[in-house]
Amino acid sequence: MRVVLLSFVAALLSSHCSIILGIEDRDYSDAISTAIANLPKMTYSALSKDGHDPEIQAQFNDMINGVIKRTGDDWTMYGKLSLDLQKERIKLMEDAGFFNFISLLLNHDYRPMKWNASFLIHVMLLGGVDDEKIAEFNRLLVDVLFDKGIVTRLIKLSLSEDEND
Amino acid sequence: MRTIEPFYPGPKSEGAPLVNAKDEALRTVVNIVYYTRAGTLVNRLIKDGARDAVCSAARRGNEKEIFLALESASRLNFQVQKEGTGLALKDQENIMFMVSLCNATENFCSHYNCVGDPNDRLDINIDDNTVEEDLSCEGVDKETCIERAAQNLAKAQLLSDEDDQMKTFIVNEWYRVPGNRDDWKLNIVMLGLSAAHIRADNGELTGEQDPNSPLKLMKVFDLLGRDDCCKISDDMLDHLYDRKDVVRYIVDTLYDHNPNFLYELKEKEVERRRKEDELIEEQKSFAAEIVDLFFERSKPKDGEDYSYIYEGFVKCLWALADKPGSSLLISDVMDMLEKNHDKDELTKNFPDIIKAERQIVEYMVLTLQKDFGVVEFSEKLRELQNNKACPPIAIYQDHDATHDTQVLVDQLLAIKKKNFELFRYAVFNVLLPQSRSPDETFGIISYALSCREWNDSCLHKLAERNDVMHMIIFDLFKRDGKNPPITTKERLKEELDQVLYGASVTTFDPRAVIKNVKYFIFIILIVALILMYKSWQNQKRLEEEKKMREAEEARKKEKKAKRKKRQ
Repeated sequence: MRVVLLSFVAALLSSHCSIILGIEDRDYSDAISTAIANLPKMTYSALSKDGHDPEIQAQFNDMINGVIKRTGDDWTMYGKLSLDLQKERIKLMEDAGFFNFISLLLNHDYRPMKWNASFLIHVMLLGGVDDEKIAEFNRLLVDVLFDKGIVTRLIKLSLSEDEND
Repeated sequence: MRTIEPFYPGPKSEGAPLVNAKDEALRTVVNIVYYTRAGTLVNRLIKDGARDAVCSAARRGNEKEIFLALESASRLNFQVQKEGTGLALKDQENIMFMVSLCNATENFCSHYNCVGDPNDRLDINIDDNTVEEDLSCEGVDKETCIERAAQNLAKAQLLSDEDDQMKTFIVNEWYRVPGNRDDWKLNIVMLGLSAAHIRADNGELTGEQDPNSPLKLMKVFDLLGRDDCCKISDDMLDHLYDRKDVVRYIVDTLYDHNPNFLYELKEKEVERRRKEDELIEEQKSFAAEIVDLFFERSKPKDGEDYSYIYEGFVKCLWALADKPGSSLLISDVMDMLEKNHDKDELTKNFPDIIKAERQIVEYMVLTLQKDFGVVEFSEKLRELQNNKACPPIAIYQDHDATHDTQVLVDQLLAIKKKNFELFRYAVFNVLLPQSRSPDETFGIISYALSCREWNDSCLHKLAERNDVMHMIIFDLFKRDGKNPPITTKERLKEELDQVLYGASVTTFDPRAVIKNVKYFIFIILIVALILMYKSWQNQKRLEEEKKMREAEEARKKEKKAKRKKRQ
């Protein structure tokens, strides 16, 4: 009887968690979609010191907090979890359009956006040189980066003639 | 893991540094390379230009990034090598890649002046407010990176003589790396020695042109002598002995630096010299045996002067001793000869003998040219060389003949060295028949060749042609390959018999036939038999004819008697 009760409670908790996660996934996905939609507006004139637009700046802040920071924080957490969960996480990021977002950043006309994309990936890959679990997580990420053509784009950027913006 | 703040451009980010997307991309690529799985992705990385990016990062980055780049580069190269993805390490592109990395590292080292305590780790103080946190990358330090780079360099065998600067740099860095990686250390030390050797060749080891060179050598020497770092193996010493000049320089210059090492080195050298001496003694003994054999086999008959035989053999020995690398020294030859001959007489004869081989070969070439024509002869030689995989070897660089003749001489010498049979063919079928005095030479040699035994008479005749004797014995001494080396009298006899008995030239020269008694008797017997047979046949035929004639006469008489009877 106790076993049945416990399993029932566990099932309830699990469904609750999945609901919460589902909500969070949707938030993450929405945040990425919004950021992608707002990207064209984030230009030099809108964001630079001289002529910044408060509305666009707010959108930029949303992008940083809702996508960039969140991706980084989650990445840190998932790096310590099992391989299956790591794969799920990368799949979720892919479904949410994260890699599409990175590609758009790398192709953005405003050069700091490229910097942001490079920096984000750079930061995600830096940790865990000696930690095989994190290293494998990084390898999974690199696999996807290859699939999405992001590596090629990064190499091109790294070999570009332009030095600074 | 780092957090990702601050991002640029943040709100009202006044005073923020310039955004350098290229540098950031370079750093990211280096990390991507680091985490790329081996296999097809590596090819893709290379195809996309990751190598250039890594090199660029190594040149442009800060300390940590340079070494991360080197580490990534090592991984990249390692993966290429491991997967065999078609880009061999010897491949030029790869070499240039590693050279670029090493140059980048060298620049870094000179910039940061990181010479000194071998245990010092990189102390990173990056004055860059875009990167505020500790960027240290666990497991990647200067030593590791240099080690990886050195491994790749050594594996790739890309340290050609032209790369002495790089070798010197690597060895200078390497010697400070603690650890037990003896195998790599040995490789690198050898590379350093090579570099030092080149420097010595360039006169840079005098201490004037490059005051650092002795110091560098000292470092190498120090590494060799460090018990905790690198135990010198026999293999290593063998390698060192290959570079005797460098070792001697080290020993002379740094005698007091490490007595233990020197002692060990000397012990080895003493042992080595002892073995060499044994070998020389063995060869001397062998040479003496040959001399004995020669005289034993060429004992003169009563009243016959055999000095010319002796002279011929002296020439052989002399030419042998004159060859570089021969353990039979001229002084040894002299010693052997002086036992049986007047020294003054020998000395008088020698000046013209030293270059005998060259003269003979030149003569052969000229004769062959005359016989075949220059072009035809060249083609024939080339064809023979191709068949026998015998590359031309230039020996007499100081030859003053025409270019064409020189080429032919070299070709023929190469043939002689590599293909004794062909050389023998040239000697016996072409040279001697076309000799300056054909009657004499051809008769002598062909007679010798047709002999079924190598007797004293043959030796006498052969010795009349010193150059021929010289060539035969000289090549017997030198020949190698399928035939075992000549080390005993018996073997020499076998070989001489093989050369002379097995030669293809036969002769019907009347002098040879007459002088060869057995052959002559054999011919006479055959002729006698033939004559007897013919005579027997003739006699038989005569008898038959006689019988027939008698029968005919009898028939006639009978007819005549019948006719008389009828009348």
